[in-house]
Amino acid sequence: MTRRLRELMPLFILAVAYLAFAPVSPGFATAANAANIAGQVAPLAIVTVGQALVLMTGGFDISVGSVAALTTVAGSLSAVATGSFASAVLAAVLAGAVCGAANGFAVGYLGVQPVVATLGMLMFARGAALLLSGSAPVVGLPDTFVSLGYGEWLGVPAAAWVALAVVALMEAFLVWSPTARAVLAVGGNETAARLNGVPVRWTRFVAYLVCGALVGLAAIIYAARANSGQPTLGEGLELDSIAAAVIGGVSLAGGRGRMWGAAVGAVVVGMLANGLNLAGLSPFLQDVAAGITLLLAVWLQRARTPFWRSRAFSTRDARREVRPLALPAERLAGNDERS
Amino acid sequence: MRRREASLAPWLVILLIAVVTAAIEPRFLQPGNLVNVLRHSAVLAVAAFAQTLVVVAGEIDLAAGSLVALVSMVSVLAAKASGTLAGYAAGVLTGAAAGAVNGLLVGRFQVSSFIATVAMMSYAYGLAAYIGGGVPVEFPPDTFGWLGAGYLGPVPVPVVAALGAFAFAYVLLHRAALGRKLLLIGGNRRAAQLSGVDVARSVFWGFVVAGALVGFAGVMLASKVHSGQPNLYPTLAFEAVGAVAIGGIPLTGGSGRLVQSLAGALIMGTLENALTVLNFTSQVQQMVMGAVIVFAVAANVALSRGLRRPAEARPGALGT
Repeated sequence: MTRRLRELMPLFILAVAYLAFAPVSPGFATAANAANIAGQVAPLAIVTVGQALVLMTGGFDISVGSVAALTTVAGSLSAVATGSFASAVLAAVLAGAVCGAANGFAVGYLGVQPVVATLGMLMFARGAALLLSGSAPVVGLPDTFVSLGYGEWLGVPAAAWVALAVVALMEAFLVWSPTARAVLAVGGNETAARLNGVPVRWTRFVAYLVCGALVGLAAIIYAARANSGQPTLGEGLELDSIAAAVIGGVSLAGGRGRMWGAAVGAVVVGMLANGLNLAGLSPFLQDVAAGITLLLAVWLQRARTPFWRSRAFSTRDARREVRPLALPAERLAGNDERS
Repeated sequence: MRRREASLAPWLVILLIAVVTAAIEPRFLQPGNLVNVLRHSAVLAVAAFAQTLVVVAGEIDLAAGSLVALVSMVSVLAAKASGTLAGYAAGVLTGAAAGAVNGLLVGRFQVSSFIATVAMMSYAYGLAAYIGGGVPVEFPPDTFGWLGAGYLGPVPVPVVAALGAFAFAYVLLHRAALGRKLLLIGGNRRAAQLSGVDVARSVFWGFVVAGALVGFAGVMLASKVHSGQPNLYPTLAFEAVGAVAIGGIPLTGGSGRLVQSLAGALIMGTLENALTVLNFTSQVQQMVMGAVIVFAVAANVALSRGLRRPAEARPGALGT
């Protein structure tokens, strides 16, 4: 498959999913439902482009769900306290950036594997969200939230405009900014990136930080749509965002992907949930479908990337650890299986 | 000698937690509470043993949390239909079957274990909720509670069960060919392949055994709460990975002793109990555990970097 064709793959999947649902789900192929999906998908799309940035470095962020809960609570508390929408956005994005920075510091500078670092954050942020909110939803948000959650502009939900702007910005960032190009370089071949003078640790740090900040922004939209800050928000968000990014053509091994593709992937995931719902499938079986979708998405990609090469579980330093059992063979094959 | 010091570290951490907690709150040292620590660590320990088998091969299993929920539902339904023993067996078999699915995907189809098990996390939860219509199934036979809440004299049955699981996993990992193969695969997959290890088959069986152990943990849990619940212990997989990592086993695979996972599980169990005794809320406990996992692994990475330095200077050492 040529590169150009491969990049168009997400659109193809989107079209197939749409055509598959149109005849079986009553009310699916209507303009109203399209707007509905757009509003539902908006926050997921924002989280997905953040997740995509981390995936491109060859990492994972499984803390996005908990961080979304923490930031939605932080933003809502700030809005209730000050009555100002801007302060809520600021609080949520800042809180998300701090969580992301902690992840990025642990992965980039301390050499902790992405799974462990973001797992720790997953537990920490969930606890913090419940603690801050007193385990109850934060209510009494200013009216601006309602207009963000359910308002429309030119027939398109306001939240979708925000998501569109974020995706466009991130795509531009990826194409033009040296930092973002460094992200792809680090994910593609870390040694080559370092030898070419790419600041590997800093790049990882920035990727996780940006992901956290974007989750904070998405959390404001979640708060707007629920008209409250829910400390239990975001279960399964890591699964959805990773599935969306993979469907959108972002390589799990790192080093490849487009932001607009990831966003299209988010639309596919959201459309799937919406379509299955309208088709009358039990919500529990939708979880089953979500899992199978993720596997299928990976299966589609597999032809292009051998997955055992995924670097998500190893930072370079950890991989070079002395391994007594494998020593004789290692001397023959070299320490690094990819060398 | 350095290796012995490193392997002693987790036990010193347990001692440290115990001493600090006892100094603030002497009630911690009451025999009843110490037995409590063991009883609460038992399930996590079994899940950590399962995780170890997978981690030494360089893979990871994030599905245990929803898998124990599915296991608890199946196990209680089976126990209601045909008795306690059938319930226990059905639970372990469900775990093994789920492990087989993971093992096929990871071993044969080369899907990354992260993705395969995150997907399993999703559909195992969906199935668990679906078979009970989203609500718990209750009222298994009275004898069903023996494994999770019974006592053998003064010793709780779950502690004995966890020791049994330890022995089983120990033999498999350190005395049987499968364990050797898994360690070799985790150390250097290509080398394992070249020396004649059937990588796909070994990974498959590693996941099956791990799944069966998770099934066993699920049965212990179901027996403890005397019901099958779709939301039984959602963070179990994360805590198990945490226990393995705190015990000092590198998640990159290739090395690890089962006793390290035991120590890791005991650290988490002791810490959780200590925080409870010291009157911290469950939310704060969760935050502390999250932070501790990351710091423990960061310390471990720093330690192994320090240990490695002389080896790097050795002439003739290959590497990039």
